[in-house]
Amino acid sequence: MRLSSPLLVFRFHRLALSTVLALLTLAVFAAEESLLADLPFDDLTQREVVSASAIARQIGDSPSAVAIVTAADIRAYGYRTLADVINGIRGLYTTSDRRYHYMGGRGFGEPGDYAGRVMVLIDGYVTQDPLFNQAYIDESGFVDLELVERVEYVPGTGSVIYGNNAMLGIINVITRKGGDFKATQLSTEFSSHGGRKQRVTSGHRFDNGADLLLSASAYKAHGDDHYFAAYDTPATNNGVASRIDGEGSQRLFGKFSYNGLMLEAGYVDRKKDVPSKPTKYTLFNTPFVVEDRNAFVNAAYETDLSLQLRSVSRFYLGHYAYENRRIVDVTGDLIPEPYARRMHEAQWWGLDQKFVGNWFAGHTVLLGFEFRNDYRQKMRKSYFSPTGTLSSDESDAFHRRTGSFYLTDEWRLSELWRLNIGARYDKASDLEGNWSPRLAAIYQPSFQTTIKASYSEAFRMPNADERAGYGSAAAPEYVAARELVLQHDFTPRVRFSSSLYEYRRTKQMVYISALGADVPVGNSRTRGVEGELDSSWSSGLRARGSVAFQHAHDTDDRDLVNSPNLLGKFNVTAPLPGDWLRAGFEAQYLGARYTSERRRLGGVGLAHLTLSSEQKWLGFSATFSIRNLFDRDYEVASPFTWAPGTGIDVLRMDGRSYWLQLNMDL
Amino acid sequence: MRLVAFLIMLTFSLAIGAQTVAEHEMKAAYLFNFARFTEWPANERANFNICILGDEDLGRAMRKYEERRISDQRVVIARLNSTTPIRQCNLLFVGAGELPNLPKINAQLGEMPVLTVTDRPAPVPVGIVLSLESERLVFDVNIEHTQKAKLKHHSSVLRLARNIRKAS
Repeated sequence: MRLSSPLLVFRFHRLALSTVLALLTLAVFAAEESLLADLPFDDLTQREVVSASAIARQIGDSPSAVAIVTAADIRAYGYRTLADVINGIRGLYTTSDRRYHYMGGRGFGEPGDYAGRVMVLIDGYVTQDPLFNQAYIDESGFVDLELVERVEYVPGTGSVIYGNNAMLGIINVITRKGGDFKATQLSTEFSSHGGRKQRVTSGHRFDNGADLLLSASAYKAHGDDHYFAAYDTPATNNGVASRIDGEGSQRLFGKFSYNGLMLEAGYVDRKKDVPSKPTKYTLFNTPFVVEDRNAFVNAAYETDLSLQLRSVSRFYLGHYAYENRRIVDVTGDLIPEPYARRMHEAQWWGLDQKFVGNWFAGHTVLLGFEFRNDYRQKMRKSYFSPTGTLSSDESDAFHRRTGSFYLTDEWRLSELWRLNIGARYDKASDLEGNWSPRLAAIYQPSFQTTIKASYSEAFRMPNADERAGYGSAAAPEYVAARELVLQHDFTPRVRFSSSLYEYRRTKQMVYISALGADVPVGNSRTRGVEGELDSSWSSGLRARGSVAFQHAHDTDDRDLVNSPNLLGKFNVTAPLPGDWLRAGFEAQYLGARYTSERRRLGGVGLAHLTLSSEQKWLGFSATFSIRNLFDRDYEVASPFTWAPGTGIDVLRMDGRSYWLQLNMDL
Repeated sequence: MRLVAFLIMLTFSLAIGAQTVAEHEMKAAYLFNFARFTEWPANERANFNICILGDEDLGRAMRKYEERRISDQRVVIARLNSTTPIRQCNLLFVGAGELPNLPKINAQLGEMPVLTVTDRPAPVPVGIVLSLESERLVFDVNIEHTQKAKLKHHSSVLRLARNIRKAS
């Protein structure tokens, strides 16, 4: 199914109209409600109450329709990486090139875009590296999902609070407490393509309230042989990339909290063999290994300085290192030439201080300051001769210091209306200062219904890779977003969320052939509408379904590459009779989209099925999952553009695969 | 067609929603009434501090009562994340997530005139415990505990309470 642009616009207007009408209807109803406090106490005790919603609620106020995935969902649907979680969220999808998983949605997700315009935070720590702005959502990500309490997806810009790079959405990962584990858990996993994983997690809550969580894991997979029609010649092993799809990762994670103090550190090292010949000058079916190492320390202290003033202080340290080695073939004669190596490294630290004040009745003021020092950004490219001597060695070094302040006010105009006004100012040592404003009006006619309208602007500074590539032309990129959100709880067990949005991006990099250079002059527009129904029943049945239409243009006003017009998600999970097992079924539809060569890839429906133990038996629990249940053969758009007409603009994905996890609590 | 369906759904749901009250809205109203119908020992404070510790929804609902007056004191709603300033509270609601900290909270408060309220059975004595009983919000008062804090409940509070635990 595919929508032409005028039809989409028509739907847009119709939805906008219906939302306005709904708003008016609500206003009429709301006027009848009297304030509870004005009723005599005797009368109050006679009134029936509806218990709080059974569906997970977001933490804090947000002017967008937040989607939440809980630890229970993660187990029920057999999610193993953040990419799996993202694929289950309304309006989002991921694309893999067998090197990384890239995130897409709402007009972003061009192949190879390193998930770079969405923010991924772990307990408030911004995880992207400053070289590529890449958010690591696959096996290269920081946390094992068993340690995750919930994942919140906050669509829309976030620069008003987070500044640089929070252009199109924020993914908040909130980790569990040590007390949730109560003891030590051992876990072992078996998966298709020769995958094995071991994990040990230990958690404890002490009598004085201190909480400690420690976890380590190691993952390894052989991978598979893959066939690529584009390289089907006798000289290149008849198109088969043989035994170069392995992957391995190691993770460490620790968290200590006590009385408002939290200390957290994480480390992940992932090596991946890339079978897909990801660059022009790589020789097909030769080893191409990428290694990403990420580490962070995050220390936060939260306290109430007085009844009206809360303080949150945060200090963070980050380290990122990237390395790859590949055999190159610059002349294209299929004879290996000297090999090449990339070694990049970044180190940074930062301080963030927030105050939340309730000094004035009806206002909640947030005032914050941040200083971030990207003191080391090194990018090194080396080439070696066959004998191993260095034949060429180029390196670039950058640094950047950023000072920021932000101020937001949540202003409660009346029982029904709230305004959320704010702005953040960022000044980087190499760039002009920039303001990111946000204005949102929130209308809450009853406790079940919320309507939010917002306008916001966000930006993204050029990263080290862009500074190296574009030189002095590298410039910030901007987005202005408008969004209208309607959320309504039909009952405490059924919630409807919908969103109508428009993003206008400006100053995108465009290649101008007349100048022979990339220039930041591109503009583009994305519009979309999303709707979701979420329900949770006392029997343990939970179901969620969503549909998202989006229409994204590129800077030439054509349909954006790898941006499907339609995305559908359906998730249902329920305990099976006997209450020993729970089944989780997930269906996802990825609509038709264009490849970089403007070929249309048809829509594809995928289904996944998971069985997990509902109760522990002598401390044992297990999960068994089948991904791509119906073994659909499908392709995704690839970021490879150097050989038009050969079919390298698509990549074939895996068929059915299995995963088994066994856990033992000691 | 879609528009019609949309409006019908919405109107229908509002019709259901119109007569019912959300649990946290009702809890907020109860807390305000506990504050109104309890006497605190005379003090010099200009403000009457209602503190909500560890319950976002209730904290948000409670803000509606900001700026109201209780016996000539201005009501201030403090949404707390830590126990540091609790000695300044007149009424302190302790949310479910903070229940493990109750022994520490009680030790910190000692016999100060603070009315403590929870919505779960607590491991240590608290002033008032709220609970849901056949879709109505009910509460139990521990007078033994509140008397130590030199608080005096108005008869309406005691009359409407489900259970009262008297001083021995």
